[in-house]
Amino acid sequence: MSKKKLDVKDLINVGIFSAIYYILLVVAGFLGYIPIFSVLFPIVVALLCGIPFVLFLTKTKTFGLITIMGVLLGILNLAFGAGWYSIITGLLCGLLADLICKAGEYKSWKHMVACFCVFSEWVIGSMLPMWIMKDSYFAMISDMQGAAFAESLESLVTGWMLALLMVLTAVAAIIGAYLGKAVLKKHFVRAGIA
Amino acid sequence: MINLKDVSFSYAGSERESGIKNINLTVVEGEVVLLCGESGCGKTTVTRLINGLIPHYYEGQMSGEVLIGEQKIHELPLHKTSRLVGSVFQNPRSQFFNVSTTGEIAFGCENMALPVPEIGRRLDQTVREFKIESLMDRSIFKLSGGEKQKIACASVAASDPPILVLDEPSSNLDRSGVEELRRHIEMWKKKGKTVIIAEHRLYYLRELVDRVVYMKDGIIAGEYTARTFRSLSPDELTEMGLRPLSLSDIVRKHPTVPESKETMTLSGFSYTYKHAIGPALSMKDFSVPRSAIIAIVGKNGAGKSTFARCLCGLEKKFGGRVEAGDQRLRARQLLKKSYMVMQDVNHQLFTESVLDEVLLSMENEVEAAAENILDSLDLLPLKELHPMSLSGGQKQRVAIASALASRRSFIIFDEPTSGLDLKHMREVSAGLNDLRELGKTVFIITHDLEFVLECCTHILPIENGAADNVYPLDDAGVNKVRELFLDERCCS
Amino acid sequence: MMPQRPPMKTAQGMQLDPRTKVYLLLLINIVIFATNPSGFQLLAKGALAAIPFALLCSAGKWKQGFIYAVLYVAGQLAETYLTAYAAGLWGLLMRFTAQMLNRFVPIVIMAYYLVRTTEVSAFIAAMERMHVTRKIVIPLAVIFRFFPTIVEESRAINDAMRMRGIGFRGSPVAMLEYRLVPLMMSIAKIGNELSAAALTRGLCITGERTNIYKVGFGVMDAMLGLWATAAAILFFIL
Repeated sequence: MSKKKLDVKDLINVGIFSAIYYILLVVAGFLGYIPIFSVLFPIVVALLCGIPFVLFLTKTKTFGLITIMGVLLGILNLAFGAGWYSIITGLLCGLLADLICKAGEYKSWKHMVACFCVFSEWVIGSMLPMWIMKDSYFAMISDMQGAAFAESLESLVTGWMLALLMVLTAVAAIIGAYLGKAVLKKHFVRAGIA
Repeated sequence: MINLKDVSFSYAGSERESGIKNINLTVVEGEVVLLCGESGCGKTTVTRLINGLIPHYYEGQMSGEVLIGEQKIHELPLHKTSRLVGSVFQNPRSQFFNVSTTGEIAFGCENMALPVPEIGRRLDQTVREFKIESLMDRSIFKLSGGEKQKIACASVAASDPPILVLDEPSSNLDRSGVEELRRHIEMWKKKGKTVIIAEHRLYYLRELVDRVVYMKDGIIAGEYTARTFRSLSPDELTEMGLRPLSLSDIVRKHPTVPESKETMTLSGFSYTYKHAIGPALSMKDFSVPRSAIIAIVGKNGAGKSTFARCLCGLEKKFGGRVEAGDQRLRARQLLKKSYMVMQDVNHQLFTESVLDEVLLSMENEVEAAAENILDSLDLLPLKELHPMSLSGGQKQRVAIASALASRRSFIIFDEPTSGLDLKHMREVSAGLNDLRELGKTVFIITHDLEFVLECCTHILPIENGAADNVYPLDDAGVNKVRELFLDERCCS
Repeated sequence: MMPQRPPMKTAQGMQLDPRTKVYLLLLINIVIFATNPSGFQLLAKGALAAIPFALLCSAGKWKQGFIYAVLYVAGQLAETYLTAYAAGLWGLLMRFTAQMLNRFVPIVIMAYYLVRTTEVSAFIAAMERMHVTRKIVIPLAVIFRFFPTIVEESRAINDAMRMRGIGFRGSPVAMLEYRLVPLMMSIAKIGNELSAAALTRGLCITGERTNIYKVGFGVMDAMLGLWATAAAILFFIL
């Protein structure tokens, strides 16, 4: 059953789940200290955040909420120093994910998985400067981290890599969504919360 | 003024709460009405019908009409109902939208779009009436439970609705908090507000209510005037599943204190929190009996929680020790020897079934042994259920079961009976008696005199971070502890 | 009871408009994420990084302000002078640390100041003044409100896990489950109750609303705003 209008309860839910999502993202962000993991960041986030996101989807029956979540996460990323591209990717991925879920009337599981796959791509926004401003970015990295590191990283940053990262994130999101569903079934449904 | 006409309601799907059937209730202006009855009798549902949360927030099947004056509440949007009815809820942690106290008190007025100078005037008046000058401009995360509930009352008072609905407002309060709450209700009554209270603890409302509605299994099973209700004997109240109407009515059922020869010595129980000005705890060495149930009593902020956290080794920097027999235990060993059942028991239930919860606590997971433990606590029929789907009293008993399974020697409970009705309180105290008979030493932080007299064997009063002595709950002890409870009620 | 930190008070006259704080945060963000600065650009960047320092000090957090200043300067110096000589894994680690110190720390401190000194109500007022829809403002206020709640709850769960001795037992998935599930259950419950409470207090999406917090720009807003804008412009033209 999809409701027409979104209400205060929905907005408070979006706030709460965005907060949980973001805290998990920050936890994943600590992995960024290990050089190789900073590239895998979106994948880790997709794996971790499946649980809150699936729970959020079970409480979502209205168009617009997933979009709002994307924008909010983008704003948080901006505020905590991960650049402003995230707002755009957050809005786009959120809107797209929202449309997918709407097509499934907010109850089809297949649509929910697809929705989470698309949604999870927003995190790549915080890494986009690597691709979009490739030259200046690597000049900066080269200055800061030495030419060798910059070159080894630059060789990774190709269009293909971006595509691969997106695919891997989507795969991680599928796993994350199924993990979320398993936990939901095991705990939240039986506890009468979802 | 308030009129419920033949109202029935059942919650939709996943809500586990019980509904109500064919309720007819009229409350006139200025009346103070108490809704009482066992957990699940439907009293909370009635409060939700009056403040409009049913059917606008909690979904389900509803029939009948709820009228306030001429307004049909079940058809009125919530933000309009909010001008007529103010609500105070049970859990002080979850009813604040703002982070600052001042913002919270102004919140309702802001939503009503009152002009700013008017809000300022109401703020001043509310702060004066509730004597909360010192609580202004604070973060709600730094307030005690009692202070939070005071802010919650002040917040609805600032919006100045003619009707106030309170749903188990005293659940998380200590005695002085309850007394404050009583004064707020008294003030509202004097102002001619209509007040409806759903509550387990009755003693503080004794002289305040005009009428009592007793509910059972979703219907109104009796209506009493204040006078007839006060004339009910303690036994009749017990029969109805209600808590006593007066603290002095509470008698000790098992006056003999079981002999416990063994003792343990607590030494160096001092603790200062980081950034704190003074120590939260500074106790002389003292000894307590083993295989006993020891009630830790004292005001909020006296150091009871700190004592408990030190005793079970949760404070890493705590330097004191416990000597029991030939064992000398410091913080690290205490963490392995003791078990704390926290006030919010939800934080310590991790698994997907009651049985797994007990198994998780065992060193070697033996199902038969776990089932034995569950059986001894009458939990065996529930073993396949998810712990979070249980009632408050049942959750407490699951925690007791996993404490038993962990084979720890000291078990500490932080306010195990807050928000429990008579039946569930008795279930918990039966569980504690089992623990004692198995030779465990049980410590209980509590504000519940009835519960203390029901199952405790000793009293440990804590005041300003210090403890004098432990006394047994014999006849003299009973008088002493009763005085302590009555006394604190008056002077706070 | 947990140890309690006193709330952060701002000095008289230092109460900035939330919009100014957001603007400062944005500028610091943009400048720091621009290309690697050199020469005079470093000065401009330093001028921006000095803002969180000034704000901390004005709030009486001298110690924290001092630590921040030392960290920032040390990070900047290390990045400028030392990293050229460092090689290998240690060099890499050092570069990362230096970068963290002079890039993320100013942003994090600014964000911390924003969160700690802004009333949710004042924030809502400022956002509404900027005509941000309530569909964004309400959830954003909830996020503010819930970060401390999540920290509080996870601390309690952590205590419970330590006490039950299930700190490091089982697979990573089980660990995730033990931590996340009770946390989410309790947050979901608090959230439901919060929604109910907010509704009975008359919160709604549409309709007029007043706000006791007067938002408006003062002298300090103008000074800091100009300072930061000037620094940012200098940064980009130098």
